Amino acid sequence: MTFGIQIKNNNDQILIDSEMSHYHFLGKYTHYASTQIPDLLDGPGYVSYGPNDNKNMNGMPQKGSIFKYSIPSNGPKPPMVFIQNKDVSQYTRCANILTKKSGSNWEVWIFSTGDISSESFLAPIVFAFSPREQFATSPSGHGLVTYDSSGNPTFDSNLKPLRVVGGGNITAPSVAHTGSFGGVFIADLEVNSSDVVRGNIVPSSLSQVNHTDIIFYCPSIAHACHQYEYQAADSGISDWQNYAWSRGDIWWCFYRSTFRVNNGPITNNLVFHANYGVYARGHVWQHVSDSSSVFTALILGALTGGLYFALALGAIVATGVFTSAGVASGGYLPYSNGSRNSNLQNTFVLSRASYYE
Amino acid sequence: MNNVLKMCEDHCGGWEVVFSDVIDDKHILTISMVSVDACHYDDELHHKLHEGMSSHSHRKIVKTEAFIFDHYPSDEEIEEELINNGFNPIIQECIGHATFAFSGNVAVENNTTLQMTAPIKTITEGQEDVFEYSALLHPEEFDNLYRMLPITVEDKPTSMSIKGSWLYLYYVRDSHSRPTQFFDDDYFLYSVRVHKDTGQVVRKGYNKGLTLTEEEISTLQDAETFENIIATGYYLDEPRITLYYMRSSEPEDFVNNPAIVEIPYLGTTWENGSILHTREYMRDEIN
Repeated sequence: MTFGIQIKNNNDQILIDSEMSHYHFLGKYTHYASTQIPDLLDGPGYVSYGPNDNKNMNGMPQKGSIFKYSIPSNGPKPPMVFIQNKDVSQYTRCANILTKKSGSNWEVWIFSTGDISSESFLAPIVFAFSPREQFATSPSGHGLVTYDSSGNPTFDSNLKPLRVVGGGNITAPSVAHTGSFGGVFIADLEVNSSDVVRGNIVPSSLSQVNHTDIIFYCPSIAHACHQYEYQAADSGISDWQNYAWSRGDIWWCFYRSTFRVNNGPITNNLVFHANYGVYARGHVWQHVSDSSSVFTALILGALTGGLYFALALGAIVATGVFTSAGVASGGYLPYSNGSRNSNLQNTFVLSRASYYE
Repeated sequence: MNNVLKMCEDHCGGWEVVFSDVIDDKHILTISMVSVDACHYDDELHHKLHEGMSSHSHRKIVKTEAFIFDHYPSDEEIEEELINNGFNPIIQECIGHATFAFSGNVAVENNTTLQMTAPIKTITEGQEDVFEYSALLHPEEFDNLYRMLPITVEDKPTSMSIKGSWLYLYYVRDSHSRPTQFFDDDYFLYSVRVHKDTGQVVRKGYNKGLTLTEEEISTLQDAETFENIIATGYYLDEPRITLYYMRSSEPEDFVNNPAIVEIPYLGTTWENGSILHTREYMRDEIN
């Protein structure tokens, strides 16, 4: 280093480097909007022959919600947004799922598994940290301010720095649901996999900190998808009339990994949990009937899925429901019965809300 | 899904692994399970069922979901897991057992549908029992009666019987189509009575359920006390009405389809508002 300033501790570790952008506390933000991925639900209504049961979302698991925040950090470096999970009593899990530039601000989406229809539900609050040069205010002229070689402020003692108190890596469960996916015309796709749990996430000196004081930054990188298909068909003669019907249903959930901090089994031993939340869900069915003849080909089409469902799904994705919900359109059924990135080490960073409140 | 398709075409149960994946050393198999109804028909019987428009079904179910194993399982291990999760290649609740209209009830033994030949028997107090012979199942008896007809009949009936000097022709047909030689209006079932000597024709049409108005019922002696009406018979050429009803309100006496006579039931006929007779309908072997 030929210019600038570095401040080190007694262990020769760099605390401040004028060439590095240090993240400072920008503010605490509540969401400006919330939404959910629209249910993909489509199929014919009452049909004369065959079962008309559950042509809706009965039995499907509760869907999580997306909370949107606008972070006034004006520059190309994304802010770090820590989640304060306010719904801790309900075992709600959260995750950062999107950080994108939006005008002079950054838009951040937090996914929460909480039940927003519940009166007791509390939406997550975020604590945002930004490089000093992206603050709207200039240094006040007193205290310690460092600048890089381009003259941009990189550290300001007048602002609270990001203090990391712990962290680690965690993976997601292999799949979101184990066991039966349902029976007849009802699906069972709840998240029922056991949480992956990591202990020793903060130094022992902080072991007395309550989990409600911990805020975390952890982008969701794992996802899972499960689907349940049930198809039935019948043909024959009843009351001296030919009849034939076929009904094929596909129910699915697309899950994203989510996290929460909790007090561990040992008093005040903080632990970090990972599992999935239902991000999107759908139910598409086809049901056709005929009383004049037996239409075997159609019955077999329904029974063997594939293109049959692909066409049905494609038809509803083309609608405008996603635009009004403020989310990207898509089938949200990228694959079936598996997960992606579940075995990747997902880094999480911890801090304390009380440092900034 | 090749095997699934084949199983559906062949109407036989089984399973097929349609997709597999390995995640974190876990084998996730997506398996389609095919179940079919227990009613198996041989070709000859099946042909006869369609020819006679006899009630029967070919039900199939395909259920697809994922199963997780810690190694790639053998067929035996897959089968065991599927059975533990309730899979049965045979649908246990056979919805729509074959029923043989005017040709006897059915019995399902060892997943095979058997044809029973007991005809419909009509019992009237003080009168001789009358059997109704199916064109399909009792061709000899049917033909004997058919040859006795003194008139030309354009539509061959599905069954016949004889009471005294009257030959009875019954029409239980595809989509309830009417024998246009005799009827101008649509009913659920049709019967025609032909005098074997004079050729006189008397017609009767049947509706499912009670289709009389309250005012019409009030003109029939004690008719308001009848319960569980399953059909109404209209004599088109005589001042008569018949109401068909279950023997009791008990579940074992519930009649789903009066034409099949799987469950015995009763019929009371009024003439000019007064009760003429009450008959009982059932299946019974020919003595």
